[in-house]
Amino acid sequence: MSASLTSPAGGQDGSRPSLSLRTFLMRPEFTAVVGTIVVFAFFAIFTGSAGFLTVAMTRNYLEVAAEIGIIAAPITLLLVAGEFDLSVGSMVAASEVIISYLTVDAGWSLPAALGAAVVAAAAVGTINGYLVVRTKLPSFIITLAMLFIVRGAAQGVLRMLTGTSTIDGVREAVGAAPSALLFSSTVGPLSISVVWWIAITLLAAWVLDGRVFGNWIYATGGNQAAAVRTGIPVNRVKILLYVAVAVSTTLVAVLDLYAINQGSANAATGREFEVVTAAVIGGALLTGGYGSPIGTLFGALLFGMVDQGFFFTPLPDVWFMTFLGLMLLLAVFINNYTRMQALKPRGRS
Amino acid sequence: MDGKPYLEALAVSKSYANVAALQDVTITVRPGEVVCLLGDNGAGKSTLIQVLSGVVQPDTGTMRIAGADVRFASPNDALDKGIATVFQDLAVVPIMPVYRNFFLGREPTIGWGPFKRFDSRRAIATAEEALRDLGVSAGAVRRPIGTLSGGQRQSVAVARAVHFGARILILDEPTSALGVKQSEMVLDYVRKAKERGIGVVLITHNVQHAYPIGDTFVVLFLGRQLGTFKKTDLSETQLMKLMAGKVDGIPGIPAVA
Repeated sequence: MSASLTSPAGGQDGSRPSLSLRTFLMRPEFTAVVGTIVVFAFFAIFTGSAGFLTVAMTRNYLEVAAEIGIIAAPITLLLVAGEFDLSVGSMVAASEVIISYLTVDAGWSLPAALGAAVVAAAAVGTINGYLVVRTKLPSFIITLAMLFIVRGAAQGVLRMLTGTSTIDGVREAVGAAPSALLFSSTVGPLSISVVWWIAITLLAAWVLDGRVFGNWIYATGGNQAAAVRTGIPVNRVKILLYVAVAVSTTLVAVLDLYAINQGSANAATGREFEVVTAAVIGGALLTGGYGSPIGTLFGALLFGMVDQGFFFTPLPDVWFMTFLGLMLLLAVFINNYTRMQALKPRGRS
Repeated sequence: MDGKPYLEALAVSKSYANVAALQDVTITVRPGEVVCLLGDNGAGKSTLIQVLSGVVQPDTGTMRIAGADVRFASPNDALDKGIATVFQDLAVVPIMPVYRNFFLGREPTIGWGPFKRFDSRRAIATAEEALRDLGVSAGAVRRPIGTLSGGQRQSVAVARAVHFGARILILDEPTSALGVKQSEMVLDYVRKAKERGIGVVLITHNVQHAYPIGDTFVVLFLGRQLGTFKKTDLSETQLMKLMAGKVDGIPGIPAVA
């Protein structure tokens, strides 16, 4: 990386962005990619001999990252559109409750139970989106309320039906359903959740940067008044994204059910903050208009590595949260700084 | 320029809560004509723009497009009829690249069915072409529009309206936030639009900007029309006085209180 890649005067006025170091630094993914490399190197050097570099360990942190990343990809699009969703953790739990109850206790097939969970999640997503666009209240508050409502309902309904807050034995109940291959198989040494994670990330990235709908997402979060003025259906954009987020929670729920063979009304507590952490480390702005699903993928990967790798450090694992918080703060500082740089006026006249 | 008027607002009035914001104002715009709408704050300029651009409907009066009576249901309806308004906020998203702003809400696509995607190559090429004369370099169309100067941003917004087939351009105070050089750039672009046969309604309270470029001047004062003047009938000094509501010695206006 030589300094001559970019001239102080701005050279060609940015007409050859692929060669400019500056352009690379301004990418939203920059912090997360560099952070991932640094954290990986750190754990590899200092805890590698303790087991961080083993296949089992790699599988572990990729699985943690995948469960965050699958939801964080659509959350990134929602953040770019300028909105927020705190209800995702409780939606994972609700989907687990629905699928495990219907398969284990009601004898439904997996596709039928999964379909029911998707419909329920989409309904919650639609309500989230509809309330946000109709009331114009901050989505933070609306979806915080939904977090409590859905979590409580998952616990309450399951208690009513079975008297417990968990249901075991989903794997045995659905047997060797062909659809199970989609959620429980492995690809080489890795679990299939990693494949889902990467596929959904690529889909989100393609929608955001390749499709017309992506232009609408950027505009909705970047300047809603301008988006409305130019005829973009901002309400439809937001509601659709809330539904996409909700459906992604069902996918995580079914992957989780297979992984631990238990559905729990207390599953994924705090997941809403983990996915936002991944998206923000990945370059997304909470104020909307800016973000990257690819960056979020690295944000989730970073989260997974720290979450699992911390165990190998000499520090007691109770310090994990503090470490995570400091990392998030650092990422936000860097991202904020680079964005300010990117928006500095460079016009000559 | 002496053709038939494309846009006409005849004797339009608009009141808000029994306060007359606009009373019996008439304005007509021909293709290739620059009509300057002048007036101090509170003269009714904003209300008239809102009527012309379809944001509000007049209480009384008639709107015509190419001689036929019309009613604008919405700004988009007006846009469909060839009336494009560039408001002061420009309707751009600062953090998005220039070319994505240029096609905001009217994105070109390529491909078919589920693989239909934003045709960024065509968008970039078209934006570069349309902005070539504006001092926006070819590479700059990929940068966030927030990094352009105020005059360039204004020009991009105007160029966008022209590109999408505006017959009449309504420009709301396009130079109010700009320096001398930047204003000159925007006015230069207005001149080019005029040469292409586009009718322009230029709203301003800056007589120095309006007088050199305008063909016709409509002066509003406290919601009423002080008159419509051809440039040949009026000196710049007289126009200045009119804006302040001083009608003494202006041809064609009876001296009323």
